[in-house]
Amino acid sequence: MYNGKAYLRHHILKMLLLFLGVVVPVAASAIDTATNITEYQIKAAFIYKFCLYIEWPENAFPASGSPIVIGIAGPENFISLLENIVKDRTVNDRPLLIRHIDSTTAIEGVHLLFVTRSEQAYLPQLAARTQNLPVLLVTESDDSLDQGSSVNFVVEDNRVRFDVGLGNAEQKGLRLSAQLLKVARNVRGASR
Amino acid sequence: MINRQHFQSIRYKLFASVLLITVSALIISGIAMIAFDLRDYRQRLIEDLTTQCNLLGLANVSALQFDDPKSATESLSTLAARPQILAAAIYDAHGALFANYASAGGKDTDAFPPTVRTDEPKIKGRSLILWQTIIDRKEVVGALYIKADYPIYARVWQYTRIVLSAMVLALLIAMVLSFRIQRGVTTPILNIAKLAQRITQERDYHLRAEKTTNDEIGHLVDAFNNLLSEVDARTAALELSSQHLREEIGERKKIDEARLRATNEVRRLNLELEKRVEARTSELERANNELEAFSYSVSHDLRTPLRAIDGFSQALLEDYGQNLDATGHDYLARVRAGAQRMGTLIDDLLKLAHVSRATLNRESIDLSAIADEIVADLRVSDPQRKVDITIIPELMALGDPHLLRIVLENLFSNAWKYSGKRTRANIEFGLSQHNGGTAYFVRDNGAGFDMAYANKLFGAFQRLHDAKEFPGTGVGLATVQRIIHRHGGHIWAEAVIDKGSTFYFTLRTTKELQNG
Repeated sequence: MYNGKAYLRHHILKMLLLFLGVVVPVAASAIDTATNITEYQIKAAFIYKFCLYIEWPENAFPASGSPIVIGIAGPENFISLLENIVKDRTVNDRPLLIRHIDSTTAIEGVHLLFVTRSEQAYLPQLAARTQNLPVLLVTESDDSLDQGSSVNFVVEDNRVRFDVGLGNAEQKGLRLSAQLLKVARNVRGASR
Repeated sequence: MINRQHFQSIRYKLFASVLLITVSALIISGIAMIAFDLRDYRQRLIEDLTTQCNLLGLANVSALQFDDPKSATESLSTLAARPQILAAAIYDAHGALFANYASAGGKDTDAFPPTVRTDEPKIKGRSLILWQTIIDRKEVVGALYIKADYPIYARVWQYTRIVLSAMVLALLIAMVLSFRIQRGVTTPILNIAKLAQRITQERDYHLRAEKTTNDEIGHLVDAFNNLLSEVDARTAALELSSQHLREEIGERKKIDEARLRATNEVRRLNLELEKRVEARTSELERANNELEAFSYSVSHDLRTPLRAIDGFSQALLEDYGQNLDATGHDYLARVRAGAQRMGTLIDDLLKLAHVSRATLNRESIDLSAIADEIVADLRVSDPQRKVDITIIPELMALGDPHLLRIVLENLFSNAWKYSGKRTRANIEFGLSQHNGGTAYFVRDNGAGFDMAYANKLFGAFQRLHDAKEFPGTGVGLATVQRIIHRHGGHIWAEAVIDKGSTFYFTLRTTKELQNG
């Protein structure tokens, strides 16, 4: 059994440090955007947070400290939005790398690929290219799950939500955390 | 519990002390247990709730991250399985209320704190409030608030009931056990007490206590038995000695009775003797009185014929003197002298008888003054004599003045008479020390006498000198002695022939008379 009091004290200290070091700047930026928060700002944050709940297969990374590569098939301003968020952040000691993806770019080494509505047309092609790769395909259009997407953004009641195509993800050797599934609007294709 | 006014057996005292000790031990341990349990309970509750918070926090990280209050609310609603948690709430990273939960029985559904706090676990009334920051990968994603029921009074009451029932049970067991144990201790003591009471009542010191245990009580029994043996032996010895004493007293009584009988006999004999003495004395007195009366009457009766003899002899001389020659005259003169001498003798005898018969009237008198008077008379009756007389003044004595005057007259006239042949005669009257007492004396430097005849000096008609040389009847000193003896005194004389004589006499002093 651990000592409850010491544990608590430890926590309080930790909390204090976090408030001073991390939370305050993050909270400050959050409050700034709170007034005119945009759909894509939320989606950018969600994309970062998806990385926290996904487990890639071992062979998806060349080394233990290799970065998680996030591919964006979308406009330039969304990329800079996301870069602001992932800057100075790591996930499981892995830095985050943003790469612009189009119909011609090589898709190998990408771990998460977000296909925006503007690039919807390329979705079948991109889905086909990532068919056998451990890439989490994130989309924001109806029927995307049928086209091989793992996570699809929806806006419901003026709120950003998402559906999960679990079968698509598992097919690629990706494991989605139950935590993530819990907050999903719908989960389709549970294999087990 | 036990009536204190009455006799309290040691059994009840032991019993009460065991119960008292048990109760106080139980109360103290009960209080300690309750205090410890409450502390422990609080600790455990806090730990439990902290764990719950951590779990809830972890479960809701994704809900917070992906802005899903519905999911968070659902997650919180699982707390319904724990009715102890009254309310819970999740706040987002901005501190705004994100999701909340209130138990079915909860009264304060809208009492969620508006802002996040970072207090330590706090007890407020009957509830425990806990705050927990939700952190994911070093980022604060929100905070958790939990309000749990803290049933302190119920807990205390529950524990008190447990302690009370344990106390009752322990008391019962203690009563049974102590009853058993104390019986082992008290039974021998009570036996001794009973025996002691029996001995006190029956006075039978042959009784003995039975020794059942080999401990202090066993020692007590031994000591008690030893004491009894001692008392027994002492009683026997006392009985024996008292018997001896009784016998001795009996003997003493016998002796005393014998002594009393002897004393009574002596007393009776004494009484008889006294009676006899009295009878003899009265006989003697009567005889003496008769004798004195006889001698008095004889003397008195003798004077009449004597006066006739003298008177007629004188008449014969006066009337017929011229017819008688010188021889006749001489014969008649001799007849007359003889008659006169006989008259003197008879007078002296009468005086002696009177002295013996006269009653004694004692009073304080000045012997020196009487002596002065006597000397003055002597000088008048014989003016030719030249005598030096020394009288110590104020010699006081206690006696009959008339009789003591007779004594002094006789002694002085003797001194005067027997110093008659001295050219310088000396007579002295004084007081001398004699055998621790004082004696009066009358001293002269006259003829004296032979001490060989001193014992005859005071006999009647006894004379140591020739009547021609020193005339006298020989009754004077006998009279003196009689008077002195009647006064209870002594008289004696010392003399040297031709040098003088000293007559000493003593009289009883006042003190001697008082002593009897």
